[in-house]
Amino acid sequence: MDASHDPHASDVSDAEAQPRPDPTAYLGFFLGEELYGVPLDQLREVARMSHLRRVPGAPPGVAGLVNLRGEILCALDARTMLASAPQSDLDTPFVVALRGFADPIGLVVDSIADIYAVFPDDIGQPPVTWPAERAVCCIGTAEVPAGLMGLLDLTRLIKV
Amino acid sequence: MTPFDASAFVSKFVEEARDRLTALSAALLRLEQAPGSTQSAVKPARLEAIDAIMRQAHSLKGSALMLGFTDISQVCHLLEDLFVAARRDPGLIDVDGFDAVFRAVDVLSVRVEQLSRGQLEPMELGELGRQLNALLGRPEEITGSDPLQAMSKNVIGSDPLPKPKRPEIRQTLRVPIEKLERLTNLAPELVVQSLKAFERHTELRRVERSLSRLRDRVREARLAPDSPSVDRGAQLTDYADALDLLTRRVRDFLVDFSDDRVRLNLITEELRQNVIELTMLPVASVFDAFPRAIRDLARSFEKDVELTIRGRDTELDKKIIEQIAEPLIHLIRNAVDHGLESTAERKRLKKNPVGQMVLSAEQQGNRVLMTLRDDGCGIDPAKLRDAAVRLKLATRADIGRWSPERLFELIFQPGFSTRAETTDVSGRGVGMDVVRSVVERLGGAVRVQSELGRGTTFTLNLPLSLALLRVVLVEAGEDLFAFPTAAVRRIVHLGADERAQLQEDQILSVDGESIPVAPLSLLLRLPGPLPGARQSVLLAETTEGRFGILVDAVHEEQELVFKELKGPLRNQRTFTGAALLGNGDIVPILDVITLFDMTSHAPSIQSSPTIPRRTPIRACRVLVVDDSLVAGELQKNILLAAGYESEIAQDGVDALEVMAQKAWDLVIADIDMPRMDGFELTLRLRADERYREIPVIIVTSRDNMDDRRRGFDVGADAYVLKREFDQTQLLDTVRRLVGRSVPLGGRGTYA
Repeated sequence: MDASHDPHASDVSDAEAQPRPDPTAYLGFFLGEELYGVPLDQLREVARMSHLRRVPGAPPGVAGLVNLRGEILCALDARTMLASAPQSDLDTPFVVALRGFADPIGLVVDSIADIYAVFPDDIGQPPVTWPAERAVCCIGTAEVPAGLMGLLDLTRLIKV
Repeated sequence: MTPFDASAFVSKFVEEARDRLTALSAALLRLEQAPGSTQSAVKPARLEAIDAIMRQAHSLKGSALMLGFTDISQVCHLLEDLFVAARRDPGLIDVDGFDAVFRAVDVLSVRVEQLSRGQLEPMELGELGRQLNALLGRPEEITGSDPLQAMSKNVIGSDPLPKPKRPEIRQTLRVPIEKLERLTNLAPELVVQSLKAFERHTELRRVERSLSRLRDRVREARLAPDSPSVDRGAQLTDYADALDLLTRRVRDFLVDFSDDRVRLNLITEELRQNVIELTMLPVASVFDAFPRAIRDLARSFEKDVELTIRGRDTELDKKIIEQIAEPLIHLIRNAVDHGLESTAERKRLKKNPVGQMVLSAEQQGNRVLMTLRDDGCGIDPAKLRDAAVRLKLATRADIGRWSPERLFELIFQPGFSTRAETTDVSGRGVGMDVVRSVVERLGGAVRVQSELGRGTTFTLNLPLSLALLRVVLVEAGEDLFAFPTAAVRRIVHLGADERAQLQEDQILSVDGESIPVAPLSLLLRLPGPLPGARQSVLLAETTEGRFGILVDAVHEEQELVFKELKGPLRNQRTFTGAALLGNGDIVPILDVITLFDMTSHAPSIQSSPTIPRRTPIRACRVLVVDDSLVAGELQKNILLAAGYESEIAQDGVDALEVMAQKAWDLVIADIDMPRMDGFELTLRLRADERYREIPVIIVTSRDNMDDRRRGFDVGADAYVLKREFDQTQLLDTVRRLVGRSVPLGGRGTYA
């Protein structure tokens, strides 16, 4: 089986003798106090969300539709999907448009933190206190200057 | 680093492979139908077909090898070998042999579609390879001598290659060059218009400057003191001349400008037309798959069928083309199964022993008509009447008065079947409602005509393009929604009394007909209207009946560029799509059929005497749980072809999620899967009251007694080895557990 998805597999390999493997760049963003990261190579662009068109009857993870320069993008409610505490004021949220999906998709987030380089051997287990929905969507966590960042696995987060 | 990045070529390969496989399939059909080899006169046709097959297989092998898809090249290589041998020995490939070769083409097609979705992992060839080798008379040879096989063996032993990055597959569309040329010709015209606009701008500024100079002169003259040296009369004449000149210039300007406008309109219209045409494909891309499908169907129903295709160059919106295949194959399946008689029966009736089917497409204005005609037994109105009475859709006395058209419409009712017992696969009617709903969702309509003993004709009337849609903008809950104009019959503005009355009985009486009406805000769970809002009713018509929606306001009609709702919104049914308005706002487009269903099902509505809707008889649903897409897709396709409904879940966790969403009749699970394996999934299903009764088949490559025992210990109902995995065995096991593809009166069909 393909082991590269499994965060535990790296412990088994004899990585000692080898040079440190390349880091992966993540874009960090906040949902309230919580910090998450999406791999930079899956990022299309970040835009301030001007107007969100809600879609009556849409599934709970969908925030609505956003006009991204003439393209209609399905904006997902990252907060709901990651079982984060709901936020009362969503004044000027951002939409993080993603690439690699068949259809235009983005995440609605509160604010953007920074870009962080994460080395594979710095990736730790998700805290046991996390709800299962969140833990299953992350390949792990990493300590970055802004705090503990959940590293999102977009293919698990977004089931299309 | 790999020497070159193969992923960039994947989409090209996919396109090429699709073409080659279609051609290969067509040549195979020709070969199979070519008369026996003993007559030397027909030898060329046979050889022509074989050569075509070899050519396609060989070219595909080459391309596959270049990109490192050794599994594909291996299959092609075997096909080549096989047909080299078949060229010498005409009897080499018998009927079952053809089945094996067709299956090989299917496997390759599945693999190519996986590539198109970015899955590069090679497939397992075990069974297929064995079958093809068996045809070549070398059953044991494969393991040792085949260099490719040996190569892939080595790969397993050595260090795993770095996992290729999942390539970003771009959706591509091939466009005939002349269509592009027409677009290319429009570009310079636009440049000319842009230059002209620049000229007009300059001209307008000149006029403006002349005008302000004149104004200054007039102002100066007014301020200047009267003196005998100033000739007021001459001054006025001057100004009048200057104004005259300016007026003439403005008039010229207007003429030029209006020319420009007309010209620009023409270019815009042409551009729009051309852009729409870019997204049109010939129906051949769907139709060409049918000869093969009919061959398989005819074989499985043991009938002789000949299909004639007409108008395969007719062009249609790509999106319609993509979605029309399924309803068409359903109609074809029905025609072969129920329409056409057996060969013996046809001989007895003195008909052509080979059943004739004609599939055609033709453009009529901005619509495309697709017709499927068979010369089979036709639909018996007497049987329709009996069934309608049995299903309590009408009384015996009433139904005698129904017109033939209205009778035939019955077959589109969900759950309608002429069979007394709805136990068998695809009794005519099962799925016909699906055919109609797909066609209607595409903005089309389906009609049926039939003559007893002579045959049946289905006509699908489809729009040419889905790109542009005329809609009426309506307001509800302070939001705008778009309603397709095509379905709107009229707009009724309500007075206060009528509004109160409507609120009470939710029926609007129009021309003596009672039409159910529901507020849009209620259907969509939006806030109600502000008090005193002047509400209107939009009366709409679908093939299923009329209905009305009450909205807070009706705004203007517009032509919008339709965009599908995708991603996680794909499965919601209230909206067919969305569009951007001129100001950049997004407006969702309402689905007329869904609104009709919601309106006519609202609990407080007593519907007018129409046919009551019954719970549709649905096909058995089988959930395939497999993390390997090749295996998953293969199983799913086998099940779909046999008339079951099927979906794939990627592992146990995914399966539990999918199962919570709708009812399933059977689960087929792999053992080795990430997150939750097949054993644990089975255990969990057995522990859960909701799923306890659902049979589970474990399909795996693990062949040892311990696993087999463990499978039964956790509560699996059957254990199938992937190695012995073939279509018949899987279907036999499925049938044993859940019966045929339509359940016998819901759950509990298995012993």
